[in-house]
Amino acid sequence: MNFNLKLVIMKNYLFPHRFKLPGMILFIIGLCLLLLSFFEIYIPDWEVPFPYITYEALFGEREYFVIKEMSLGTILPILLYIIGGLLFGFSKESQEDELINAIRKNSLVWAVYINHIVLLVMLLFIGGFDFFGVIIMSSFSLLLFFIIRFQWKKHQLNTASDEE
Amino acid sequence: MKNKLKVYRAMHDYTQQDLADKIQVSRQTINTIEKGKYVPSTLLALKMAEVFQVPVLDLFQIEDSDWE
Repeated sequence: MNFNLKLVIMKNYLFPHRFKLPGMILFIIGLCLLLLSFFEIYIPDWEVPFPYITYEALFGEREYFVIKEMSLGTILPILLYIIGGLLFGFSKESQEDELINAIRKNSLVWAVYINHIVLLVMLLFIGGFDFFGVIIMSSFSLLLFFIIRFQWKKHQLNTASDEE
Repeated sequence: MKNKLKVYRAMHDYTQQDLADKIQVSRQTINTIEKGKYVPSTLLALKMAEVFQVPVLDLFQIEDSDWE
């Protein structure tokens, strides 16, 4: 049983379909919180002690294996966004077949291209401290580009095949 | 690649959904294969041939443009 389960997971690297909806909800909450904090509209200031492997404060020395306050308001949206996004984007469809698999792979290739094209353009035209923002954004945008493309292609597939 | 799926479906009086259910794919997949927008895997082609009880070559034929 366990061996079979391993084989299934390795075969397509996808989560079971039941994770799709919870993933979507987490992803949307995470995305909204990220956008709110990115545009500095609302940043929750919850802080919790957390064991860090390394910690370097601004203008401070690097410390190892210390317990410091972690800004949960900054980390939580990222956690929700990444975990939710992975579950939403990589859970099986209700009817998972080779066409959906092909669409998923194509969307992923498309997203990698777009993400890096955007990064290249920004690298050239956005300078100074703003470029840090670009790098941070670029590490999250791949998942977003992939999810948008995949959902759009699935929508196109459903609407194009309405007539029999 | 040409296919005669629609013809064989009509001969057996199957809807796209009927055929989809028999080979465990979505109806949209059957639709895109029929329209020639998607080329199925060998496995799927063999399953369809099995459902209609015909050789795969009766269902799918290669075209000159496939060689280009």
